[in-house]
Amino acid sequence: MSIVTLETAAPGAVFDFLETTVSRRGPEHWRWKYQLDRGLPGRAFYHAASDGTVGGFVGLLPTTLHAGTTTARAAWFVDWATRPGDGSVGIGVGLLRRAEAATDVLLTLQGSADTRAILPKLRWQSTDTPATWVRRLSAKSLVERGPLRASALRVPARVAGRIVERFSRVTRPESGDLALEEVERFAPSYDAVWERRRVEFAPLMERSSAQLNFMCADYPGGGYRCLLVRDRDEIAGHVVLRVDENGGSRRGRIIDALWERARAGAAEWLVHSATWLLQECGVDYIECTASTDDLQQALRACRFRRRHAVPVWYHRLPAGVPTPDTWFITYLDCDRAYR
Amino acid sequence: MTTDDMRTDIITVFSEVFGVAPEGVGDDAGPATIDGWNSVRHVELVVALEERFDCMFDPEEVPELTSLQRIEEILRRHG
Repeated sequence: MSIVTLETAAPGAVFDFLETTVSRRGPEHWRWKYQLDRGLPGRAFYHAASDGTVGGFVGLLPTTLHAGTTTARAAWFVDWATRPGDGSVGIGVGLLRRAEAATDVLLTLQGSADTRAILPKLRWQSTDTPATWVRRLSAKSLVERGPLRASALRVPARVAGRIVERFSRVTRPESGDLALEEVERFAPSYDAVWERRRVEFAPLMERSSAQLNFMCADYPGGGYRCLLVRDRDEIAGHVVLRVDENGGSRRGRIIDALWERARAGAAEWLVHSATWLLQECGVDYIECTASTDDLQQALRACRFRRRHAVPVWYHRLPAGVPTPDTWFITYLDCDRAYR
Repeated sequence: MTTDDMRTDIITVFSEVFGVAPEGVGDDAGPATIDGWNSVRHVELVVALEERFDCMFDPEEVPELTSLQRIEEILRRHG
């Protein structure tokens, strides 16, 4: 038995395991996520028995943590799974140990019930600072999931929902110096903006053009909208949005945003603009994950409500790296599409 | 540490982790013979053994820690 690094030439049994035990994503998804066509090893590991049976898998989404003058290799672990049954005890922990050895900072967000049971026993810690915020827009969303859901009378609730919906509509943001420009992907020239924003937003994970394109523009399922934030003639930041279907509802998400942090009102304008764009796409509700006060205040000002915490689990941190309760974290770090 | 001392210490760890009487831990002790030896309990066993024997198991060794005899063999490698 051994722990093997995932490569392009991995046996079909590994991809069968991913499809049957992790999630049915198709080969394109695994090639994208683990960069198999680009020959970048060390992004995933699997456990193989002597007869070729795959006993477990762990994948990594590598990134760089920027914290002031310190940078550290970091990775979110994803797709952590073992073959069901007694024969797989210890395989998951062995794979996690292998993943820990591949990076300086190993992390995960939320985690399954098993993950939440196992990680504390391995001396992992968590912080509950990031949270998902929600703004409901449609009558359907307001009635089914919002404050009117407790109503015993569905018809009056629906009528009330339509009235509330009318008053919940997002107005078009005022045009001023700030504007959004949609792009297919982020040009390398965006990295000069990222260098400025990185200093303002640290500690945070990499948001260079290459990383944003990998996580959003190149995602095999598509669906991410990349936008530049323009401040008159200058590019000042970015926003990434996504629309998908979830449980019969059309869901919008503010995946990520960076802006000139010292500019008064910029965060609120950005959330307002993103919310309006998503409303124009006909979404029933909008979600955003935020960890810092300024983004959370902007969300609150745009009538988002805090729904639940998104725990960040971490094991060890290199010297000089602050704990994750101070990090800037968004869906870009934790979107389920990546897991 | 003698073989007997090591075995006694491993049995003590088993007893604490799985809540079984030390005399109930035989050579065949493993996931199939000890009630509740699941993935979560295995993590507790690994951590308890590392703390007791002041070692760190390699990733490949962790899934192998599934019998008294095998644990002894692996711990001997760690000196």
